This record gives sequence, C-alpha cells and structure tokens, in this order.
Amino acid sequence: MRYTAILDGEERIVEVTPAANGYRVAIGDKVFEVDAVHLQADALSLIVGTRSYRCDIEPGKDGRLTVLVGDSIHPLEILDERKLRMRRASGKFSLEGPQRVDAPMPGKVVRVMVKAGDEVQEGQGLVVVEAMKMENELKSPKAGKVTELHAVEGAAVESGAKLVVVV
Amino acid sequence: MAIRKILIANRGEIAVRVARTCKEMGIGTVAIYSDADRAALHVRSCDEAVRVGPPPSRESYLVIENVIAACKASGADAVHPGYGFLSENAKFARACASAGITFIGPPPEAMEEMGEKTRARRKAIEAGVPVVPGLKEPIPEGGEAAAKDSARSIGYPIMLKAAAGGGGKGMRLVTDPKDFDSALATARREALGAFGDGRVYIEKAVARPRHIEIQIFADAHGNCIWLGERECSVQRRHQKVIEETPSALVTPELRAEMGRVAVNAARAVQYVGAGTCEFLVDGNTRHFYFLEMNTRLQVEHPVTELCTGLDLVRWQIEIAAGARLPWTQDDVLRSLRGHAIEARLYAEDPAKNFLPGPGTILDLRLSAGPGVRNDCGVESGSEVPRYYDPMIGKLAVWARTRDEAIARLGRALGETVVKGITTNTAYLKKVLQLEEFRKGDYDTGLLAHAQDRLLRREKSGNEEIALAAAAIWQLEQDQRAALRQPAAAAEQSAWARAGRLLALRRSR
Repeated sequence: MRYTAILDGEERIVEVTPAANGYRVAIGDKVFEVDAVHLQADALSLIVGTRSYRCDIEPGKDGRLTVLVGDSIHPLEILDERKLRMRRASGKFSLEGPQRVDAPMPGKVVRVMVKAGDEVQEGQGLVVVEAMKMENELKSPKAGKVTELHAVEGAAVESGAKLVVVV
Repeated sequence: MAIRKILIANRGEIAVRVARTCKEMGIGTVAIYSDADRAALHVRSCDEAVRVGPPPSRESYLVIENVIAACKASGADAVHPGYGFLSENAKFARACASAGITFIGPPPEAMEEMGEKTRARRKAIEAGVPVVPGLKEPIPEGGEAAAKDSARSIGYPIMLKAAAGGGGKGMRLVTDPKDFDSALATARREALGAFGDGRVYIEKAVARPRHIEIQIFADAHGNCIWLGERECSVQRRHQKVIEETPSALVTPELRAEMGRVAVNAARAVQYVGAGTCEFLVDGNTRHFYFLEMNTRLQVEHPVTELCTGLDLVRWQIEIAAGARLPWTQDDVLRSLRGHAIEARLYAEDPAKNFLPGPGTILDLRLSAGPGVRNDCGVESGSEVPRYYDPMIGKLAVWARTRDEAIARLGRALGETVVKGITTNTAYLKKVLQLEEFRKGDYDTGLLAHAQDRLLRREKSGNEEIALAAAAIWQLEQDQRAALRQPAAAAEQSAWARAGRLLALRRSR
C-alpha cells in the first residue's frame, strides 16, 4: 500500500508491504524491514534490525495522527490516493473567503468583544471562552469584517460550535 | 478523640492521595462527587461516595450545606478538605465544628487571619516578618481610579492578586498603567469564578524573584516546627509547574532564618496543623519577603515527604485528633536527605497556547522504578471534565543529588504515556533540559523567557520510524475496514469471510 505522509510540512511517500516477518517499509529510497507487533490501545512494538521502538498512535481527524516513538512526538498525516486528492482540493481555500472561528473546546462564553459588522484586524481578540477555570481569547484569523456573530455572553458552548465568521 | 471515618471534600489526585493514607491508618473513607465525576477515580478509591450536586463546582464541591449533609449521610466524623475548593474557607470549618465534625486543618480564626492575603500581610508585619510593599486592602468597588493612582505611587511593574486566592488564578502582572483597567477586570472575574470572591489587591513586583516556601507543622499543644523549603519558581502565568526541594539558592543559614520566620508567623495566629509560608526571594540579594500563608496541604507536598520521610496527611490527621508532634526541630534537620522534584501533569496543549484539553483518556501508562512516585487522579478510560482544574496528576522523584533527580524525572516522564488527551509531558521534559534549570539559576520568569526554546519543534531523529509505524498502523486499519465492509457477495458466506481472514493472516 502506498501512502503520502506529511510530517513537519514535508510530503513523503511511504510504501508498506507485508513481508515474511512483518512488513517492508520504503520511505523515499530507504527500505526498512520492520518486525511489528500490534498491542492493545493502538500501541506498536517495532524492531528494526536490533533496535527496539515503543510506538503509540493517537488517531485524530481526517487522517491526522500523532505518533509517539519512545517519548518523542510526531504529529503527521497519512493519506491514501483518495484522501490526498481531497486534501489537495481543500487546501486551496485557506484564509480566503469566510473564516469561521469555532469554540476550541467546550466551555462558557465570558466576553464578546465585537459586534456583527465590525471591521477587525488579524490577531484581534473576538471572544473570550472560559473552560477549566482558564480564560482563552479567540483571535481573528484574518483582517476583515464580522459577518456572523453567534457567541452570546454567559452561554455554554460545545467544542466546535461556530462563534464568529469573519469575511 | 479518635477519628474513624473521614469525608474527603475534594476530587482528583488529592482525594485519591488522602484516601491512601486513610486506608493505611485503618480509617474509613467517604468520597463526594458532582454529576461530572460519577465515574471518577476518587469515587472508586473510597469506601463510600455521596453525590453533592451538578458539575459546576459552585453548585457542588463548594456548597457547604451539601458537604455537611454528605458527612451526616455517611456518618463521617472528620473532613479532609484537600487543597482548593473549601480548604481555606473558615465558614466551612465553622460549619463542620457546629455539626460536631472534626475539620482537618487549622482553627477557623487562624484561617481567617492568614487565608485572606491582605489580613495575612498585616499579621505578618505585626510578627516582624518582612513583606513586599503594596496596598493593605482589597480594591473596593468604585475605587478603581484611586487604586490606579496607588499603583503609580508604588511603582510599576505591579501585581494584581486575588484576596481569597492562590494557584495563580485571579493574578495579573501589570507593567504599563494603560493595561491596569483591563487586567483588573480579568483578575476580578477569574477570582470570582475560582473562589467565589472577586476582591483583588495590589503589590509591587520584585526583581529576579524566586518563589520559595516553607512547610510548617504545628500541634494543638504549642509545638511548631518547619520541614524545609520548596522552590516553586518554575511557573507559567503564576501557576506552578515544577517544584523541588532543597532550593539551589537557599543556604543552610537562609533556610534556618526563613524557617524561624515562618514558625513565628504561624505562632502569631495560633496555627495548628500543616501550613505553608510562601516567600518571594530576591535572586541577587537573597532578601526574602512574606507573600502569604496557605492554611492547607499544598499540591507540591510530596517533595517534602520524599526528603523528610514523613507522611504529611497522616500527621494532619494525627494532629486533628489531638496528638503531639513527635519530633523536635533538630530531629527534622537530621532526617532531611537527598533531593526531590515534582512535575505537574496538565491536560493542556503547549503548542496551542496551553489550551486546556478535556476529554477521555484512552490509555494511561504511568512511570515506575526506583525513586518514582505518581499521584494521579485519573486512569485509562477516565474522563477529564471541563469543569475543573486541568491538572490530572503529579510525578515526583527522589534521588541522592539534584543532578540524579533531574535525570530520574526525565527518565520517568519518558515512560509516561497519556493517549486521548493532550498533555504537557514533552514540555516538562524540555524544561528539565533548560541550561538555567540544570544550573539551578532561575527565577519565576524562567518559562516566559525560555518560551521559544520550549515550544520549538525539533527533529527527534525518529521521524522515519514514526512514518513506518503510522503506515503499518494505517494499513492494518484499512484491512480491518475492508473486512467490515458488506460490499461483496462473499460477505454473505461465513466460510468465505473466514477464508479471507486466514489469507490475510498468512500474508503478514
């Protein structure tokens, strides 16, 4: 199977094929013979040559993964052909057009610093959300105009709730 | 007055920690929980459990009547308040007393004298304890303009602090008068949310400040001793992150002097039980100033336990039951040994401006081995609710020397795996590697100054292994998904499915 992986902003082709004693993994022009054992809860033990690695996978959204190797953390994306096409298509629209500002976590809106129709600068504070006794200021991702305002002071919000739209 | 059953008026790691000592002492334990904590570890760590209300702490853990009712329902004869929540609430201590329940902590009068920072300052000044210049009273409603003038005459930078506070909540550094108003509003709001008391006061900010505190212990028979210091200067936004004892800055003479002053402050209010005097120490001159006294067990008490060999919770309970302190100051000095460091594990994402990250812990693997102690409030499958503090546990180590302790903590952090939520473990390891920390030459500004170094993403050297692991994992996911798909007619036949599974296993 052929995957495109994105790690630290760099695309790498990773080809993995079952082999006699686990897998053959080709990354660019390097080939690794990997003895892999899948443990519970997405933990993997890899032996490459005589080197033993403790790996842990944390699945995220849209093919995003966090891979721990020992105690080093690698946030990466692993995409097959179909997912890669989808990602390339969606990547073009970043920061152009309407930008949604969503609640990054469940919490409570403690302050709304803008009104619908306000002109805002990139990085300007829009809404303050409190969760776990800490206040977090959500900033505008771009300069533009507030076209939608859904945040209400004192209201509880779920993670991912649309709070503000800046165009 | 024997204590037979203790209600632990707290949650998370401290509730679990107190329950452990109770079990060792043969004392029954009662947990309290909000609706968000029904499945929490602390509930399962106690013999009994009583619901005290809905998720927000102001409607559950902070409701005195509910906690007292839980004592009565379970027949608890004593309450251990832990830290935070009602631990420094004199009203609660009084309510316990009038219900005939022993409050494991100081008398309410001592809590009132010391619990409120401005009163504590006055009391400290009376006892001859040096304090940082500042306003002696909280800023009254409507007194904002006058407070701003006082701030100017004290001289910027200044600190705004919650009168009822602790733990960095409701605390703001103001370097410029133009930020005063917004900082005051934020501090008040945070203080109100965290302590139910929005009063805030002003203090001058000290240069190269180190936060060093002295643990004291007093019994009800007039004995009071100190148990060494804890250096808590590794802070992020006034929230302690790493604590150690002994402090690299403190000489034996300074230790004895700070200890003497702390004991004086405690005696001045007829203190009983475990308490901590927090000092700000000038990193250049080693002059020290009294900040406040915490009239409860501290989060970071394990480092003191590791270097003294004492169980502080056990002695809180013994003293509440009327026992005498079994040691003299000299006994303590002789027993102090080695070096201990604690790191706090937070459910937060350092890469996203330390945004707290509640969620479900899918897998938790704690460290073990020589000299390692974990105090953890969660386990695999635990939910980290959004309503409470994001600290999920503490990892403390002991070793003969400071260098060995640093190496040991790094090793233990490396063994710690938390999946499902984002934590600060990697960040903590980077703090240990900072040159300033390794030399012991740091102040409370360390984390802010080193921010870029701490948050920089560096090559681990294991990138290719990570890619290989990801690809192997993804392939196995894809294969499993293919097996689940009822697309082919072959799916109708269990024989065919078995055949495919077998073929797949062979192909590995």
